Amino acid sequence: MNAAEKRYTRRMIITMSLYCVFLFSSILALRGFAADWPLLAKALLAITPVVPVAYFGKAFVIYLNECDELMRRIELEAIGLSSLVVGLLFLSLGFLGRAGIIALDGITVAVWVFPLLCGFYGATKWFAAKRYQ
Amino acid sequence: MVCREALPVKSQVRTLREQHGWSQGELAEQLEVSRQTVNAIETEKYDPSIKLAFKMSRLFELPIESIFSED
Repeated sequence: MNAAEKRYTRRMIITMSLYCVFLFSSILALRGFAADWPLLAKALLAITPVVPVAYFGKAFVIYLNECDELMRRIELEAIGLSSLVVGLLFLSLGFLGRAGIIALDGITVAVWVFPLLCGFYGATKWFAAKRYQ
Repeated sequence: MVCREALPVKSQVRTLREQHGWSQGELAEQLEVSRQTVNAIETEKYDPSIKLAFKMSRLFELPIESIFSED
């Protein structure tokens, strides 16, 4: 693991740990003491987990700028493939929902887009890297 | 729109590296890239950018066309 990868891994661990803390804290707060807060305050509290994810995105962009040209190509191919897979998956789910074959909850769909992008990115990075080995 | 596939590039990087007695890691360090990148160039799975090709040219003290040629 080179220096750029080490820095990225450290930032990823920190931001994702903060994401977990923010996520569970906001859920518990919204169900507890913040249940009677004004709508705007509840909305701000509900989206606090997005903040560490945004920092994770920043860390990823920094990593992309620090890695060499082949690594950058592999990363960008992986992101492209992952976006394609997730896009096709949700498009299919949308059509299945529209046809009345499955019941879809829009909120669940919205919440799962980013985690699935990250999950498929792991698999597509392996696939993209394999092409250059 | 006409889209033409790039011509395959033949690389002399492995031969030149071995002539200098460098490992892939040592060459990667001098070029400021990863060892995987050097390996992909040597195995002709990746064509380097013009910037990296110039770096190699300076390092091996050879013109680019002596290091890379059309297959």
